[in-house]
Amino acid sequence: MTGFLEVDGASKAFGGIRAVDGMNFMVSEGTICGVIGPNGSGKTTLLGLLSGTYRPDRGVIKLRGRRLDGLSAHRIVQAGVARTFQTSRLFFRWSLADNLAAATAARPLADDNSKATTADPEHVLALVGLAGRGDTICASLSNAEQRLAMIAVALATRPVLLLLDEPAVGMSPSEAMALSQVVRRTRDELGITVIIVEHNMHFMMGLADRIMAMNAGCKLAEGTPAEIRGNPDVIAAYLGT
Amino acid sequence: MLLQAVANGIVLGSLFALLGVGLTLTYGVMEVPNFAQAGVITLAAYAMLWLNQTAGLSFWLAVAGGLVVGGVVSVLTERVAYRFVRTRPLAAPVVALGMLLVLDNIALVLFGGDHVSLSPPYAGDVVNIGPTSVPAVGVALIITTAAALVVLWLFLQHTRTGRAIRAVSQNAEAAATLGIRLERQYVISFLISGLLAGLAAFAYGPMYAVFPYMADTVLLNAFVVVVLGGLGNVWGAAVCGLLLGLLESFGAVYISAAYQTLFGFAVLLLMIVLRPAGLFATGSRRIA
Amino acid sequence: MSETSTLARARSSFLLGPARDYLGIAVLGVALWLLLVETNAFYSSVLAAILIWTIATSGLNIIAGLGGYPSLVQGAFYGIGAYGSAIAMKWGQPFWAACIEAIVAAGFLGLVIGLVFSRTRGQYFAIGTMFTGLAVALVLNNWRSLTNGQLGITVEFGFGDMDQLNVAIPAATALILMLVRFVSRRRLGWRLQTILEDEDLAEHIGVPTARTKLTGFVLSACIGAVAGILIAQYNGTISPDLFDYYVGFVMFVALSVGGAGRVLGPLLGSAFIVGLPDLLNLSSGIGLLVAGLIFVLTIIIIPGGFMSAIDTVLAAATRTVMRR
Repeated sequence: MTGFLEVDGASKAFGGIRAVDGMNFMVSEGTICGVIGPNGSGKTTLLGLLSGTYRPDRGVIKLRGRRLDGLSAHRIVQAGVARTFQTSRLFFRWSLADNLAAATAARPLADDNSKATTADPEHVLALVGLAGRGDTICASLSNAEQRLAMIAVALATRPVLLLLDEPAVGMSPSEAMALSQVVRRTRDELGITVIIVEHNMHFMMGLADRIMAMNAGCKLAEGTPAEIRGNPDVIAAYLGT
Repeated sequence: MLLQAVANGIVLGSLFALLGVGLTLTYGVMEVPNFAQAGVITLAAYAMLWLNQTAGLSFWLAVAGGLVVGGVVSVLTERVAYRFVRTRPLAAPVVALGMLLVLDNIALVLFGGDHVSLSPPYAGDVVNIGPTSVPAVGVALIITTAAALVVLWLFLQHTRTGRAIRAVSQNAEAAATLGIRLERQYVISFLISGLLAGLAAFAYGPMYAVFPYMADTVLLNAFVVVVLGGLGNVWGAAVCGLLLGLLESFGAVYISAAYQTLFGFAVLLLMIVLRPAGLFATGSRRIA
Repeated sequence: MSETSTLARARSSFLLGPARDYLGIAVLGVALWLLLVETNAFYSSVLAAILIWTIATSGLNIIAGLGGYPSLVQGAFYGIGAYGSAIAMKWGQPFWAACIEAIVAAGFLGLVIGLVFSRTRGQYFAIGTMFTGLAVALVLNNWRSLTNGQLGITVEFGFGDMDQLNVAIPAATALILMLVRFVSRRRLGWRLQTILEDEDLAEHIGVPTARTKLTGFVLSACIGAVAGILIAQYNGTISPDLFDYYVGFVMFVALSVGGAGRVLGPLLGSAFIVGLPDLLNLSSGIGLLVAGLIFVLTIIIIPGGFMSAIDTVLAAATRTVMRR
């Protein structure tokens, strides 16, 4: 039986450094999966492998049984995977509405068997909490708004899998709360599976259904938030050298 | 024939090395492709010509004057144009080309479009080394390049300014935090670049004619040298200049003289496809 | 480039509305034709040169203006259009076939160049295409059996009479301007614009960037060839000076000065770069000198060129009017 997302032996090296080294894991559909780990543990690289930003040196990545490894990023978007970035990335000179229009148009509506959402721009803006801000030029959005806008743009491509790369960076506690709500609604209302890479443990613990801990490019541990919180290896990795 | 091709290659390679080093220096420091350097060469050459033939100065004084002109014009291009596009990498090459257009046409307007010749006292002499014969101007080019590289090496290794330039080339931000005044380094590298261009004018002018677009094609080759040697790598440029000179010389002798520049172009294409970081890359600068 | 969102402009265009843009361009075309045939021979020839350059730089506008890839090789496609059509006719092809062959040849070269250099970005793309322009000029200059080298070749007249050519030039200009207008609002156009804004982001929202760039580049090449065909017809003889390596660069200058990414940018830029020196009877040296200076100034001070200056003036004027 094929799982939703299956990663088998994925590896990626840059120069001599093995950023991701033989990762094996599965993610179930409709869940929020957190990825935590100290700096340099390969979290962002892993997201990059899933989104097509990088091509894996080795390994297999399957989304609903369809192989994604080796595809270029835009094809992976077409397959239903969207991502956000660590630093805010938008078409800054354009309005929010235009950013969404570009993202929506990039993915043809006629679709495969996926439970792909028909997230229309207005709905998406409302979901991320930026309703009515469509005409704002993205450069003049605040940091938190830009990070939400990035999520909106990703959602506008009608993904089945959403990858969030440290979405809470630079957010105040209340902004992070709002972000949590957005992520939950994405899962609950749109049925989208979410993988979040985050430093902010607090943020993750309350949000994720399952958490995967990474260290030095490998999977360290995997389980419910409670299990991870109590896992001695995880604690050591974070507190260690 | 083989040895002659080698000799020609070394002469040509010296020219490429001289220009490539100046180009890669400004590249390393400012990430700007200094195409205007071809215009600097042109104006320096015309200055030498004017000083020598119209103003009546002795040849060597005229050359010194030309060097000064080279340095000044080069610094001017930085102050007037390049410095405004340091933060806009997309604008840099077109501003460079714009300045080249301006400089070339200043030469055209001031001096006319005729091909004229810059004649050093030893023009016409030929030096025979074994079975090969090299024109004296070619030998002068080799000697000039060698001397310039030695002086440059001493400067970069053993003077404070030289070391500062190397630091900025490696990592401008870090250099700034160490208290190195970036603006000063930019101006100095352009000055050096301009002096090297003046030397090139002195060495290259007599070999080919002096006319407003004299240096444009050669500079394109110099760019290939910069890419080959690794962007910002001065010694890579020197070595690769020689290599490219030999390559083009062999191509000219054994395949076709008219298409000599195409061999440089072919090398560029290969680099883009195979090794965008150059043969001796330092750091992570790549062209593709 | 303009401050306002380019897609937003789709809803409220510079000339009052989508259909009216095309109408406006058509009217412009007719006006240009009238100017072309009614004025004396000197002004007429200057205008013809401006219009032909407008076509060539409009082609460039697609890859460089919309897509942000600074191609400096447009001169080569211009040359291939000219030489391609002339040589094909020499070989016995009827005019219309020669035109198609020249355009296809240019498109093919565009495909090859695009494939090789699409891996490069920004300034390296500029440099690489400039080199390519040099290489093409070198080959055409030296391939004497094909092109007669420096001596140039005479071009067989393909139109019925001069009147037809005088209609063809402004008509082609208007059609190409409409084409650029059309493309800029359609999928290819906005895809190119996303590439201009942030290529990696574009890739990550599903834009097939490699394919888009290639399509844009080939289209630019084909349009450049159209201009070349017309200049060959207009001049009657062509020589390699027509596309010296710096022609591609001067075309880029004209586009930038006029306003890259704007439909009328090429027209304004060509009028300034090509028309003004001719009208003022400046020597080519001074003309290019001034062009170079204006270009550097433009890049540094008003990157959006004349069109964005016009935008600013109009916006200020509208604000002043509104206040009353």
